[in-house]
Amino acid sequence: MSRLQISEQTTMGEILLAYPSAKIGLFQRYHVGGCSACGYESTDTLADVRRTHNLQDDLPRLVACIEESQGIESRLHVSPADVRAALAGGEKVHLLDARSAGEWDASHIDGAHPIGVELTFEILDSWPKDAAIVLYSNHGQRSLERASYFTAYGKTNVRSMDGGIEAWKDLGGRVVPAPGAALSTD
Amino acid sequence: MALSEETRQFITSLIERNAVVVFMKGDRSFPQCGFSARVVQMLDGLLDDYKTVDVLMSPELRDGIKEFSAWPTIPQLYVHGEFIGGSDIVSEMFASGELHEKLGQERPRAGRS
Repeated sequence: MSRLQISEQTTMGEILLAYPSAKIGLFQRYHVGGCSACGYESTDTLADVRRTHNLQDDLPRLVACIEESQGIESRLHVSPADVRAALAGGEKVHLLDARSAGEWDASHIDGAHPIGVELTFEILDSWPKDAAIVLYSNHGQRSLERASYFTAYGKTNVRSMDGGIEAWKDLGGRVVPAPGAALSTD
Repeated sequence: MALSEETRQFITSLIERNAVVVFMKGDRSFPQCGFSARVVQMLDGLLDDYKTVDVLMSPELRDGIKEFSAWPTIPQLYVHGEFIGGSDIVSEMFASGELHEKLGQERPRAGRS
């Protein structure tokens, strides 16, 4: 858990490093951070954001929002070992690749499906809200963001696999085609 | 991120199947951006029903819609398959009454200041 003591002078970069979930939490509550015009720079302090966006809540409430977002995020994580066990045990889990088409082509987890735009909105519009979904990226960052959005739309059983496909391979998990292609940082 | 064929077909299908579509950040009930919220506010005053698509859900769509429309910002409004514009253009058209006509509504008699 994070130990960052947040003050009005804490920068958004420091906050997001300690609480990656704050991005989701802040724009769910205050509608800030969705785009450049409504967002903030990593060098902006919390006081800057509060002033720029005319947020009425005081600092303790802002900090509470950031900290509460972490509780939501913690429920989005799942370990590669748990995913592997669930699949081996025959659980119905949709394993979805949240990376680009090029990364998918280079190498992906055996049995996964790429989550393109069509599937994204099919899940939103017609899948049961408790459908078991595990997203992965290269290291788990992009998949965590996608999982956060699905959760914000009411999906209750969406997880992001910690460490992504790299951790999956470290665990001896099967990928196809054979690994070796260059990957981006996430 | 280049516009993939899948994303192009997805966008085309949406604007063909829905008379009014807004590609925005967030959705109608919960806009995640001030510009998107402004477009929703105007449309809510004119229409009971229209389609919103949250581009934040999909990086492919978030980038792809800009290339598809040759327009660099979000939100983007389509009416009967025609690209109307972003927040500023929609605001101007709303103020002039042109948006009302586009949506099959009666143009307000008094101009807005």
